[in-house]
Amino acid sequence: MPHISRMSAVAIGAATLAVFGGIALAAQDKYAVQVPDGISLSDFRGYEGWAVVSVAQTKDVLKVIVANPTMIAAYRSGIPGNGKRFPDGSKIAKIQWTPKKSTEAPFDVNVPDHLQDIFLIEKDSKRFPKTSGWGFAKFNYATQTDSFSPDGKGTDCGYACHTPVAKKDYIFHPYQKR
Amino acid sequence: MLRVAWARKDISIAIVAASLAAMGGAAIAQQNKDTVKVPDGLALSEFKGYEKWQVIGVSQNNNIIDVIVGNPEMIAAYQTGLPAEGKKFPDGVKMVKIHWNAKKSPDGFPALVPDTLHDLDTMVKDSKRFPDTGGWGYGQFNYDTASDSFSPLGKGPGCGFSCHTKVAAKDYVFTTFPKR
Repeated sequence: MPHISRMSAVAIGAATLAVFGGIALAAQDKYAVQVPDGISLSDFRGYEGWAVVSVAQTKDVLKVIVANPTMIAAYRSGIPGNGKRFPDGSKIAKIQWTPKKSTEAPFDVNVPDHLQDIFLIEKDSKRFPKTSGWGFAKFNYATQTDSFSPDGKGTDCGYACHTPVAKKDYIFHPYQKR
Repeated sequence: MLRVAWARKDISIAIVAASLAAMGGAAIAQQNKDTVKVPDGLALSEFKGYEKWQVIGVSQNNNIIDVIVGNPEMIAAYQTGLPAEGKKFPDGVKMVKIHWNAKKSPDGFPALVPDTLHDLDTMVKDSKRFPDTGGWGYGQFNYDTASDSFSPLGKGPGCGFSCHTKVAAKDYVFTTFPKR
């Protein structure tokens, strides 16, 4: 029953949007997306508003790294440089865009073009004991359908890659001065 | 030579760290964020809390990499579809561009990451206060790592106006709000 009423509500909502000539909002509830046997994007609800940890650029992407208040507080207390580990509940998201040259700026500058993917890491020592307490997930974004899809399965997709910085509690990016 | 320079830097960092530890102070002890002000222009304190503001966008040019953040009013304006031709941002919106010197990733990845803080560029909309510059006040605060302090660049609130005039039709704002 709850399922049916929820479905009806969604249907009514969709119909309402359609009546109003609704824009792309109708697309996807991104917080319903989950990695099979892994992390749900809803674990990171609100990441759009989190504070900045750092930024980076590679040949292919321009990115910003943001973290939840628990993790930002940990960074500001000196973790991981002080040898302590990030507490359970720490969450960090890396948002990656394909870059493009700005056509407006009066100088040569790369700015975000399309969203490519988001990488998510969360600390929960009980839930992720085999990967030093961290759970990893990656969601790819498709501009055409305005939707996210999980990459791979399970919770360890980034662990091997992050092992070189085990001393920094598996986190590459330091909190940048600002 | 480079190694010597690095070694010296390490030593001075160690000394600073030791001094800070002795004072029992957090690493933010010496900053003048609350007092630095452009003569006849913006005070950095008008942007209090920018350290935790939401991301608008990022950009990179040559050896500089930056993030642009906005206050809640600015983010709300972006979410209504601004900047757009002919539309104005409301009074009270504020944004800060944090520029870092870029360096190669120390972890061996082919990536550029922030090194030291270079400067902060600030913008605030107040049509009554800044009638001569499209309603926007501009400020730039350069950061000096050695003294851990900011200093204002130039004077008055108009420093970014001529540069931003190129996008006057979009209320002088270059940065868009990419999907995330």
